Amino acid sequence: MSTVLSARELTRHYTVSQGFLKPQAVVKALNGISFDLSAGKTLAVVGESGCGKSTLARALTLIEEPTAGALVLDGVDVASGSKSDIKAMRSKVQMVFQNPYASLNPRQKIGAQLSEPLLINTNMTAAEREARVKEMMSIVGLRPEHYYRYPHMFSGGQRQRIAIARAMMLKPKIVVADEPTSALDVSIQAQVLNLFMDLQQELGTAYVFVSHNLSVVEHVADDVMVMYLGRAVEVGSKQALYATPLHPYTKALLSATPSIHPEDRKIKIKIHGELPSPLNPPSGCAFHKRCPFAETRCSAEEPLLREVGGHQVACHRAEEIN
Amino acid sequence: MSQNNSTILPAADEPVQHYPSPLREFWQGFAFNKGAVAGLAFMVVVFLAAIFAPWVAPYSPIEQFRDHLLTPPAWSEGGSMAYLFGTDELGRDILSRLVHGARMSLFIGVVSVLASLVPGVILGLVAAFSPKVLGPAIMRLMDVMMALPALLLAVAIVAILGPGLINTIIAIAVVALPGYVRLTRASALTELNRDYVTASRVAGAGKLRLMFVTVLPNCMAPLIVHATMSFSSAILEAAALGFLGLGVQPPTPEWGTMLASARDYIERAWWVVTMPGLTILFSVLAINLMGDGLRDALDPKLKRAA
Repeated sequence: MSTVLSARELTRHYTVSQGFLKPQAVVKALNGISFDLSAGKTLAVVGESGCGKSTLARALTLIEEPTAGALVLDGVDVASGSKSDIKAMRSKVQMVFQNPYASLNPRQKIGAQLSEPLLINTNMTAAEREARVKEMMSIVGLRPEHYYRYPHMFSGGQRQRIAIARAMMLKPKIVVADEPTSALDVSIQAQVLNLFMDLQQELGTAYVFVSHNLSVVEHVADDVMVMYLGRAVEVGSKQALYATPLHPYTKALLSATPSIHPEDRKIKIKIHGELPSPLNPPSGCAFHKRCPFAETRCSAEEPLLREVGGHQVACHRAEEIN
Repeated sequence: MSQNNSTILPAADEPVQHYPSPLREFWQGFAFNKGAVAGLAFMVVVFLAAIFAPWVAPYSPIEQFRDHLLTPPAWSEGGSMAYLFGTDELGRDILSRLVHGARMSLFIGVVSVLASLVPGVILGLVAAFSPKVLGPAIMRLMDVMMALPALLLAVAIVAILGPGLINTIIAIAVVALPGYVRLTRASALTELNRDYVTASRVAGAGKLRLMFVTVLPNCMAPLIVHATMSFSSAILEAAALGFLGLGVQPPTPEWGTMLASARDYIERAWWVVTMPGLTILFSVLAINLMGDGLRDALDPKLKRAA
């Protein structure tokens, strides 16, 4: 299996002003994320709000340059690449946004929006572009006359399919989807997720699927990465991670997912408190203040990702507590 | 495709509907607004009168009928059909002066609005897209311009460039510039953070494309309203400059100058000031109505479903 994208110690820090005559603070939104993504596979990134999921998505699509670390796309390091490298990469990584009501230009017809990537990146004639757009529209289940309509004439699910069609226009190697179903109602979510999976089978696209919905992730993912405060706390295949979560945070997340089958219900692990401020992260393990298994070592020493039981986990006590 | 195919809505085999051309679609949106059509009709009449002024106007605008000083309009007591809107203090036919004056006034209005709209929009977009260096520089310059009273600045510019029609237009355009720059920058900044702009960027759109194709159409509504409003203030500012002897020089007929020079006769001969006043009022009203229609026609949300 060929690796299409690999991130090494990807870091994104923001400097924020705290007010007049006060020193600037650094928000460590993304604090050393590493992973490999194979062609045609889906990596799901989960975590609670504010853990850096969206920042990761923006870094992967080169909307924001990472502060440090390497991002290797098809053998080229784009994080430190030249402008022309980045321009060439644009067509290989595309993005689907969370809110389909904001991600389409209200003043452009669907046809014009879908052909924009072709207009910019290829030398096709207008007729060729129109044919390609209509082909893609039929793949995502839109009718040909939708070509001449404006975004406000569509429902949320249709809009998200338009957004997916736009991301797929250039047949990218990687699509980053930032919570693509969270703004849709449940009946539409399955439709959009299945469209994602069909397109993956057909085009061999690799997905980075950012979500906080664990049942959605279970449906689409091959690999799962659990993030906490800008760091990966557990990375593994979907089966291994869902069957035997090792990190206390992953356990808590999984046990919080509601289930309708009584036999599937697990004892809920409650974690207290809120996600700590990334301006002032706790020492040692970022999770130690909320962790039911924390000990003195956890507040002093930062755990690194290590191989335990078939997947990677960043916890000092992974063996003891399982 | 996979077994999941059934969940995707199949593309129905309906006959492809016929869609109107963009121009026709624009006209349909515009015609939907009755006020805008009325405004357009009025402006077409005024424009035709301006173009064919020598044939439409009954007399020369500068010919003085010394026997008919301050003749009232035809419908009031003492008026005559020979001078439909009456005559002014020098015995010139007001209707002829209004028809000829339309040339000058419309020219001043349209050209000065365009001359501040186009650079204003470009500067505003540049200011929004380069928030680090160029943006603050442009905005501080605009603040300096706004700190000076409008008329004073216009007078200063005309004083430097010298009186005359073109210089008047330049002065009016420069005075109106900061409004457009600020308006464009403010609406562009709110649009810039929207996802669709990011999507365009991810698709590889360059800065120019983002500015003019992606962002600008979404900023048009306030700009159109502002442009139509400033059309009227352009005519009035031209009148003010003319009154100070810095604008269009007499005896060239011009609506604003006519209005300004007639103020001595407000009590004795109401028509001398009322006729040009009403002409300006109706023209401004018509242009504002047209602006509303233009804004609606350009907003896809207000179009009926295609």
